[in-house]
Amino acid sequence: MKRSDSQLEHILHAYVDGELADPEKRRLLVRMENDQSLRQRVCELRATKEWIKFAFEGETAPTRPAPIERSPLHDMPMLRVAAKQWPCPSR
Amino acid sequence: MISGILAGYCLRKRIADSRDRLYGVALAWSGDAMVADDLVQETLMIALQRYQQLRDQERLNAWMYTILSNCWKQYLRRTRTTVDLDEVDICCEQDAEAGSSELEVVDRVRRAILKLPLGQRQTVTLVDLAGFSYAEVAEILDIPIGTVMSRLHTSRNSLQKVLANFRSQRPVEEGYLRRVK
Repeated sequence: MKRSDSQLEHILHAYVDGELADPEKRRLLVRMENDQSLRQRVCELRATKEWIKFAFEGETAPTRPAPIERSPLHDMPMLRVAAKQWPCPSR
Repeated sequence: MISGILAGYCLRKRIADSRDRLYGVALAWSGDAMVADDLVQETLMIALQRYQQLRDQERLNAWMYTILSNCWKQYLRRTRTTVDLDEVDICCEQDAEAGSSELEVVDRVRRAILKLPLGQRQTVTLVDLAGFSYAEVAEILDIPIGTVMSRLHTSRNSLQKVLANFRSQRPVEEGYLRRVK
């Protein structure tokens, strides 16, 4: 593979991974409009990415008790009750 | 003080809630459900013991995968990978009703991932399965971003070849739509 091909490949991977900055993305989009092989390549990369995700996504760990930890709430029953209702930010 | 304790509670809860996400990646790295479960359990234990060392809570997710990666390295050092990956029975718990072609492709992709060199396997699953950015993966695996990119490039090409071979081996199936006269 030529150096320029390899660079273009890296750019295409970065594009499907959402890693390109806006100006770079815009340039690539324009180039893709005029080049069907680029569009095809992006399509293949996206499909591969999806398959990798799909092959392992949704696996659930066997049920096990959580590792034992000594929480500061351990000796404070009132606070333990409050903690259960505490709105933890979900991420 | 109370808000500090409650914030700690939230952090521990987030750590405990990340079990399934970590498990998917651990399974992709090891190909063995029991090993993956042990790795995740160890990761959670370390994270729960050391979460107070984490200065930036925004980094919790990446920090946990760094611990997972270290646990995996330790596991490999302990076992010196005496297991032949071709003999590993790869878990496949997709819906049996979904049809054999889906199961076959999933199985092929899993096997292909497990045959990738370790670094490529870790990189591609951290990006595609766990959804980390290149910068985060570079930090988790302690490698330059350029290495992340080249590993992605190589690993996806290998996986694409597997998928392409699979397509060429299968007969063309009839579509769902039929011509209506």
